[in-house]
Amino acid sequence: MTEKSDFDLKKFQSEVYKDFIGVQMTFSLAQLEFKSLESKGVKVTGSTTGLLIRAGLAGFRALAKRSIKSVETKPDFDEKEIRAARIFDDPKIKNLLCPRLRAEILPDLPIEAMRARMVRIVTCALLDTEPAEEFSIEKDVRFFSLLILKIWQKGIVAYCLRNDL
Amino acid sequence: MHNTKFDLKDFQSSVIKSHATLMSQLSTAGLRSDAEPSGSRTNTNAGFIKRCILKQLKSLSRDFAQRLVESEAFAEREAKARELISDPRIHSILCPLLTAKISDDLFEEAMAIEVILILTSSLTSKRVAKELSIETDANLFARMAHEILKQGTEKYCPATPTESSDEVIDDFETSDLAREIAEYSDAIVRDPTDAETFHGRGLAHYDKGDYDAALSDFFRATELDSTYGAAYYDRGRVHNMLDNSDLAISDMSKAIELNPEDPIAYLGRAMIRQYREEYELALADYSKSIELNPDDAEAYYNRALCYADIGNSGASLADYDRAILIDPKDANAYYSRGSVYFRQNDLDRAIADYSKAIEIDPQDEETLYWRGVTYYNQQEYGLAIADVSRAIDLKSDFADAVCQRAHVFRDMKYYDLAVDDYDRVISLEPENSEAYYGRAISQYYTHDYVSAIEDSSTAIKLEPNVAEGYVVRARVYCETGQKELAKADELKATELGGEITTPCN
Repeated sequence: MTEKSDFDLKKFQSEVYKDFIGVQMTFSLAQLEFKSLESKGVKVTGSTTGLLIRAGLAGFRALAKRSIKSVETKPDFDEKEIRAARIFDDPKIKNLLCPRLRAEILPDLPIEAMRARMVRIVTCALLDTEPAEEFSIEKDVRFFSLLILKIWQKGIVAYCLRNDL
Repeated sequence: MHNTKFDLKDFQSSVIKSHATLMSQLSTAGLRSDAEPSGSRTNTNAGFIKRCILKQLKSLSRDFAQRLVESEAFAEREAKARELISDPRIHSILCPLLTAKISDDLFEEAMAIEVILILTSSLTSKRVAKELSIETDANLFARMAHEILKQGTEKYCPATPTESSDEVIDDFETSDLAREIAEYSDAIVRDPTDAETFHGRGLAHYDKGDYDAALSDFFRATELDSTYGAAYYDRGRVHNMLDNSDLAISDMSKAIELNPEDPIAYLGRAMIRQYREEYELALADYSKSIELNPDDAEAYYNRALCYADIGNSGASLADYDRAILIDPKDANAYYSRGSVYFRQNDLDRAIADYSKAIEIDPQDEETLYWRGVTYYNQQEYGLAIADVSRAIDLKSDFADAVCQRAHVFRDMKYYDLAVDDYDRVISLEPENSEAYYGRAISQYYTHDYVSAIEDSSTAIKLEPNVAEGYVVRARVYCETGQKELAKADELKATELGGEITTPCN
């Protein structure tokens, strides 16, 4: 882990952005393979991203070799995925992220802009001292990629449903 | 320009990809400062043959990238991009948005994307593309973004000095007038019976804005010479400045009586009558003035204004044409004729006239504002922002211009910038219902429903008989499941003539 004083947020965000694209691509390929396994009658239990990605490894090694390898070689993938899921579901985190997500992730933006803004919003909000300490958020690129992927998959509207009026 | 239906979102995506490819090419060719040093990523665990192959591949791709970046087409595009971004018109379109949206704390990819969004949303309209010869070519836009990023937005858009030199000029003029008044006063001491000297000092007081002193001197002049028409005329002007229009007309009439062939006196009386909304009498005086001096552009200009006041656009335009023919350097005539075209919804002609007025007087914030409004009505958002931002630079408390820019930002979906500008309008004019209503729309689109209801309610409170506030609030109520309230607002909006495009069900 990088020391706090040496931490370069912009560099970190850039790494998260690149990693998120890789994870997202891997996930998309894996999702196709998952559907293909199901259509062949193979029963796949569990519903986590990790499971889907592992399912994808079987069928798309050649296509997504590089990104799959980067997922494959991380032994603590499951642990990060669980932590990301916990943070994702936390109402306080939602309250923290949603106003900015709703304000900045607009439907008529190109996908690349949505990704970049989402990375900026999520990293800035969660690496701020208070939430970072309260939720023990580490400056871990893969953890942030997985968290952003979860929000992406859910969609801003569904993730930020509110009943505060 | 756009033969098929232009899809901005698709184009933006293409430019972002093209920019990423450009970065990669420059990096591979070793033309970026952050390019990886040769061999830095060689996998030391790989076998000898694999390492050789990797090295060979890398060398091949570097050669390819180098050939590409050294190609003629590449250089041409680079030159074109540089030429475009240095065009002052493009500069004025881009800078208000670049300075507002691009901050140093954005990471590299995000900054490039945001710059591309600004470039593409501001420079792809038909008018901009045609007038500034910009092709909607993804590679060209990527190159432009690269050039701006290379310079840095702070260098590309340096802060413009807002201090005006008007005050210095005013100081000079004031000291000149003071000297003039002193000289007249000396002359009056030497000969207190000369009407012309009193008249001269009165004019200097008038120019200085000291109307009481001017009035006193003009009175003295007419006392000394009761046939002094010019003194009556100028006394009439002072009465008019002091809001005594009856006395002003009486003095102007006396000046006409003393000199019935003086076109200036008719012109003066006409202007006062126009101000009093006595349009027929005013038109008669303007016409007499023109009859006596057919080459007076000012008379045509003022009669045109008078015709515009009574809704006779045709006669008004004819007089503006004549005024411009006599004095082609009169910015006011172009501005006013542009306003007639604007009211007639002849927006192209309005823009042509406003542009001519701006060419003559580039510091006139009113004309810049109105051209911005006209561009906005044509959905030429980049050009609109450039103009209203310039108007705001010239007059920082120009609430209408700030409000207009907020509308443009809102329609360009830069809701954060729109809200900032609406905030600024509300701080300048706390009773400005249009700003509350506009801010409510921006908040609605960013799903800040609590604030949207609050602001639309304030707009309704300030202007209870304007439909827009009810329309927005109805939409927010509907979106948040408060259907009864939504329906009540929809009903009220319809009663007031508002249009409900998607009723709440």
